[in-house]
Amino acid sequence: MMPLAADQWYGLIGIAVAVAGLVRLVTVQDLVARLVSLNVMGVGSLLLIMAVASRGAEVDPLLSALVITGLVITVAFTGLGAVLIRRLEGPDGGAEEDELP
Amino acid sequence: MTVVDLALGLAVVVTAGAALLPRRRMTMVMGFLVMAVIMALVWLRLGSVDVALAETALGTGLLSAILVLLARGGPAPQGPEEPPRDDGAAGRWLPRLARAGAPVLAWAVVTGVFMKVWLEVERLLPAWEETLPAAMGPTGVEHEVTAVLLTFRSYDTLLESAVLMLAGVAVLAVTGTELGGRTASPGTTMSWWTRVSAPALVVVGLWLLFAGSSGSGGAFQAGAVLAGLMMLADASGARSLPDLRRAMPWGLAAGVLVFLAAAALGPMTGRGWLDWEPSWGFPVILTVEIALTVGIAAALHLLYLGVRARREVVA
Repeated sequence: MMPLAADQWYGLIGIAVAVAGLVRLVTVQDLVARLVSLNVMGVGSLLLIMAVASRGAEVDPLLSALVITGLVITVAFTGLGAVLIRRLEGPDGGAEEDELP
Repeated sequence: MTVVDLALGLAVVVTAGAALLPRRRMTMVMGFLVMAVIMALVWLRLGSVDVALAETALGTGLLSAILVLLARGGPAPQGPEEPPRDDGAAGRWLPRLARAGAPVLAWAVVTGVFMKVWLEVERLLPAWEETLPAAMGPTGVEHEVTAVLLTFRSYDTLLESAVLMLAGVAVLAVTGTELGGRTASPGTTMSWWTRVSAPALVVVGLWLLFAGSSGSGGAFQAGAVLAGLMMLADASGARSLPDLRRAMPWGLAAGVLVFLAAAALGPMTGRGWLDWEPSWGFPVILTVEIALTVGIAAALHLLYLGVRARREVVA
């Protein structure tokens, strides 16, 4: 077998991490664990994209911009998910006062 | 591939496991935090300073802070109860093994198939109709990633800032009065540290904003640094932040509105949507970047306010 090039190696890592995140996402019940799994999955897929982008002499700027967009969207959905989880479970872990009994 | 690549790659896998496998919320969040730090190194290793900066500011900075706040404030995980251990009862190990083994098996099969495909495919360079350096001429900026974000793919960036704005709007909609309060001061050490680091963070944020036209950096990284500064100030109990927060909805809308105004420059001068005069490139992009930074910082700060623990908020 040929020795791996760096982009192939990071692509393999990206695949392993993304699939692990997906598997955990569909098997875990805790909401925070789901949010973290979704993030791990995102990191894996971005790593795969950057592995393709790094094949040339210089990093492909278009794919880099795509990955930056991906990071920003990740923060947006994670932050919103965190706020929604906080609301679902009550602000400080207890039941909320205006919640239905 | 070198030893560094091997070590970094394995570190990514290990930290991913540390983020996915624990049952305690704080443990998994800590695992993810370490993973984000390793990822910043991986992006640098792959040669993209822009992505590494974005990962550092957004992934390890803001995202981790939000997740730590979320993990700390919530109740214990409500996972399925651990089945009672009845040692000696034969026949119980099979379902337990299946429950643990099935996800691992699924992961192994899917990963194996994808890895096989990935190793078999031809390793072509990403190819576009016209190479980017050749098309850079009339954009008004020198840095290719900024040019892609704000000229060639500006629709993506416009909608991306709109996604962030909508996330901020959603936070405004679901959280109530606690948004206006300030955090109780945790003591003098924290506020001393904020006073020392705030000027440096302001300079770093502005530098990232203006450096984006010629080098690595840009509105998203700058907005994240400024949002981090506001978060630090709030955590140290700054008294002037609630006044600043009244302007938050306006700041939130500013990025998208200014971007839309810039997009309308095209039709006003008889060109297409988002297609401004090439000679206006630099001032238009700079204005849009400044407004985007304000909007991004406001949206990220709202996301932080939404997960802040209420018991620490002083009205």
